[in-house]
Amino acid sequence: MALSFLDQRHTVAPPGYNRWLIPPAALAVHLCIGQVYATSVYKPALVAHFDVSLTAVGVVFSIAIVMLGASAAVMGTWVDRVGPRRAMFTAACFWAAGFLVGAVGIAAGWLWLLYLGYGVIGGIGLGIGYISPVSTLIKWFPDRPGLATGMAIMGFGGGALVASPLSRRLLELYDPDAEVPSGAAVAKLFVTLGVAYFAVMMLGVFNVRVPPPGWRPAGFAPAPERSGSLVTSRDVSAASALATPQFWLLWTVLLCNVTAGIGILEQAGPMISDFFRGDDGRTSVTATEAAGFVGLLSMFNMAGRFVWSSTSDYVGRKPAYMGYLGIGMVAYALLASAGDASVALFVALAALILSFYGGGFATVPAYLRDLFGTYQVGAIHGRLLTAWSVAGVAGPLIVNRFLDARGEPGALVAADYRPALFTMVGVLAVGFVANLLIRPVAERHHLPETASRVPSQAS
Amino acid sequence: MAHTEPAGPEPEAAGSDVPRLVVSWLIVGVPLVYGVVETIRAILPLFGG
Repeated sequence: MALSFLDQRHTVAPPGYNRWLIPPAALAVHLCIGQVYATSVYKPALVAHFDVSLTAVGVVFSIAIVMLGASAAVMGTWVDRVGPRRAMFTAACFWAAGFLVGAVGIAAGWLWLLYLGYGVIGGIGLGIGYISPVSTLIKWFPDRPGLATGMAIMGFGGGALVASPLSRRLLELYDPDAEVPSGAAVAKLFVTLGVAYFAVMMLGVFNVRVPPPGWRPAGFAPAPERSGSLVTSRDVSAASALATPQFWLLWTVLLCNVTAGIGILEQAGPMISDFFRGDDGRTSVTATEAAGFVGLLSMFNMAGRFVWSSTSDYVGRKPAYMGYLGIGMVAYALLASAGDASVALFVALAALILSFYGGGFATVPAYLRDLFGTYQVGAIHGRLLTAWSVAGVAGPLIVNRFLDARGEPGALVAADYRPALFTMVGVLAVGFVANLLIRPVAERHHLPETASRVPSQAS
Repeated sequence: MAHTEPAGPEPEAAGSDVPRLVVSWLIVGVPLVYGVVETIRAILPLFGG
């Protein structure tokens, strides 16, 4: 069969294969799918083209994120079974097809086709692509799993940093004189991005390899398992993991951490303007500065994924989350009570919170590895990401409900944000307690030693 | 084709991997650096730049 090179058996690394080829393979996928956070660039153009509300266009993004969580949860076991190469290839096909079908929808003026293309088809590519390299990275870097997954998941944060300026430049090229780019220009942008992302993701497809069974890096000897340690050398299947309290406690931790981060991320631009609004109703922060603030948060979101996840290899996963959630609570409380004292303090606190938001995302695969082993860590990670989908709804809902009750957009001040921000302190406190309650997984959930040593037995 | 891989510690990569390693990291690194630079340019007004 022509696509047999995608089979798991053809992806086993030959002796001497350099494991540092795996992070760029993972980054190639995550940098491309991270584009989903750069949709704001062409939103006004789509609103004008389809002559619909901003909310109607925003639904495309919401569908894509819901499909990300759903497909990661449903397809996780398949991804673990068929291996990273076939999973990455499938993700590339869905992600590129999503852009191409979406482009047809824009060109034809059919919004429903844009929903189906970018939202549903592209969203499936997002979910499969997000989890596809995770278990492979953990297997190649048993000595530094946090560093490895941090590098890949950093790419998801960095994808928007690349796609935003690139999309702006391409739209200027396709429709040079327009203040708001035409639908035709956005359709051309979608075709360009679809083709380019498919090509870059193929780098990941061709470079990714799984280590041979029993492989370990030179000089690495697994630490002997200590009684009461969260880090296990045993494996738990995805089905069994769902029956453990540890999975649901970690699900709660992720939900709380992401809810708190999204609360700021969604409202970042208006928030900084409102915090520094004077008695005359005018803000001292310009629109350009507010846009810069949003960019700064994206940078810290990306950097946090790499820095904090790598740090967790040294301090341990549980203490790392105690930091994300505990220091996050203090930062949120300071933001609420004293954030309007100075722009520098406001920016520093928000940047710290967003770095923990990113860190929480990137550290969670390594935490799962510690608790449930490597056997079906991709599938377990996929199921855990449903917390992200819930947080994607809960975070903005909490902030928007409070703000709606306080007044009209454009007339809010720092005090109007306090109820929402103190609620986020409470949300983080729930996550902090959930993390404290995590204990080693009970012996009865472990697979027999031989069962988990046979890879892809179901393929 | 099937491989028979040894279990246990793996020697570090052969030197022939270096060009592939450089190209692979460049393909993902260059766009990432471009994104970071563009973002820093957008951030500068926030600090009076």
